[in-house]
Formats: sequence, structure tokens, C-alpha cells
Amino acid sequence: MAQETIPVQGLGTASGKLDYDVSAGQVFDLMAGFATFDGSAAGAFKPAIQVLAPSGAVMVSTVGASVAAGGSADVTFAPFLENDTSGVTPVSSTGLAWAANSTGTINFADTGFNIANVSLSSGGFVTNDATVFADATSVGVHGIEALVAGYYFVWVTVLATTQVAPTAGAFIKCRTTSPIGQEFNSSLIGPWLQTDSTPSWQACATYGWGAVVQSPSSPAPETFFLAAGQNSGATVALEAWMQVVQISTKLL
Amino acid sequence: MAAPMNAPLAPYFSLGAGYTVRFTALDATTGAEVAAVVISNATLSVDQAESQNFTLEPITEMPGTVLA
Repeated sequence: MAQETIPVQGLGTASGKLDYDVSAGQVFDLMAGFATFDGSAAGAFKPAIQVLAPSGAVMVSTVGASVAAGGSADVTFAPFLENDTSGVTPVSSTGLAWAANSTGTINFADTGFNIANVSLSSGGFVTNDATVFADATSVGVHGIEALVAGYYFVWVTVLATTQVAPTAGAFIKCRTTSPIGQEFNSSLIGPWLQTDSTPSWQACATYGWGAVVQSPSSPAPETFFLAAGQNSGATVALEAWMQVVQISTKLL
Repeated sequence: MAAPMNAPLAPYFSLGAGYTVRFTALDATTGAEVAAVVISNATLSVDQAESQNFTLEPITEMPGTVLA
């Protein structure tokens, strides 16, 4: 007859298997078990709890879901729990996939209140994962292409310089053409400020976009293009940068 | 960081002297023990049998080895 539940702790650390032997005079009902399985130096495995008879024969073997190579799991074994259907995947050691490109310094004409696409460099595209990102063009304008469905963060920054006094109240702004998503951390309109006595004026704007690339509303691949506008009254020198990070491939 | 995982356990399994409760890592394909997996933080919850002379203290203080 059960009397009370007792935690049996301090079983130590072991490789491959960790035993608790029932000693003489002990009789108990096994109610639950918990252990941490550190497989950071191991291949794929399944955590298990077993009951062995005095002969050494395995009488009961409860096996959890598969843990991928390099993964670890805190496993609870208890009656009436459902076995996890998906295994544990270790955190990627290579980090997130990213891509970047820039324009270099270009001449950028007054666009009034409109924005216009700005081509990124034809040879400046870089990425750490060519299966996720590529350089892409449309009508000669280079952008960064997301090759697979996922959630992406896109950052755009523009910096303009002119030696011609800008029209009062003029500004510079930037955007990215993008599939569905939402802005984050944006300061997409920047005023002109005189920055030295040459004289010289500069204006900067940034834009962040969280983009959903998915089928069918916005199927992959999807290209992010940089767009900018300025109404200083004259052509200015412009530098612009775009960086894209794939945050997740898991969508709603 | 270890991910949480649940697994079912047969209920009401009574164990006496000579039995062993073993945490182990098994190869997902062959079922063989995977020695490279380090097992720690192990805890058992047990219901003590009323009619037995269950000694709690040695278990809680020096488990992990076979008690004489």
C-alpha cells in the first residue's frame, strides 16, 4: 500500500546509463522519473528509463522521442503523459542566415515626395547561406532575394550628402519593397542638417521591416528592393545599405 | 540548453530488492546504449510500501551506487 511519495535525489552523473539499485528491505512503487540527457557530444539518441529484474533482464523500457545529434533534453517520465511526437533539435551552431549589400556612393536626383528604387551594387552581395539568399535583379535594379519561405528582418539605411543648401523643410526617406509584414525600429524620414562649415549638409534615414515570405499570398522567392527619396532641390551623393536576416522558417 | 520532453511511464510498478531503475540513452536505430550522452540531475519519485522497512536517509544521501 502506498504511503507517501519520496523524492530520491543526488543520483550523480554518468555516461550512457545511470542506475539506481533497490537495496534489501526496500519495496516501493515507481511513480515518476526525471533526468537531464546531455547529448552535445553525441549522435542522435532516445532517452529512456528502464526497470531491470535482479537477473539483469529488462522488464520495462520507456523510450522518449528522438533527440537529434548534438541535442539535449530534460526528460520527465511519468504515467499518463503522452510521448512527444517531435524530437529535440539542437540549436544551430552556425547562427542565422543573413545577406547584405550596399550601393557605394552614387548620384541621386531629387525625387520630390516620391520614392524610387535604388540599385544595390552588382558585385557587393554577400551571404553566409546561398541556399537562403541570392542577388537578384529586376529591370537592372539589384536587390536581395529570399529563396525560401520564412520570416525575415530587413534593414535599410540611407545617408545623403550635399554641398548645396537643401530646400527648407526637405528630407530624405527610405523604404524596402516587400511582401506582407510590418515595420519595426524605423526612422524612415530624416531632415537635412548642416554638418560642417564647408558648407555640407547630410541627412540619414533607416527603415526596418519584418517580412513574411510564404505561399500563396507572397510566395518564395521574394526579392527585397531598396527605395529612397529626397527633395533637397538638387542631386545629392547617396550611400545606402541593406541587410536581411532570416529569423525563422516556422510560420503561423 | 536542454529542451523539455515528456514520456509515458507504466503506472504502479512495484519494485523490491535487487531491481534496478536505469536512465539510459539508446541509439535511435539500433537501441544500443549511447555512451557519449551524459546523464545527470536524475530524480525518482517513489511511493514507499507501508509494510516494508524503507530507509530513506541512505538513498537520499548516497544514491547512485548499490546499497549494501
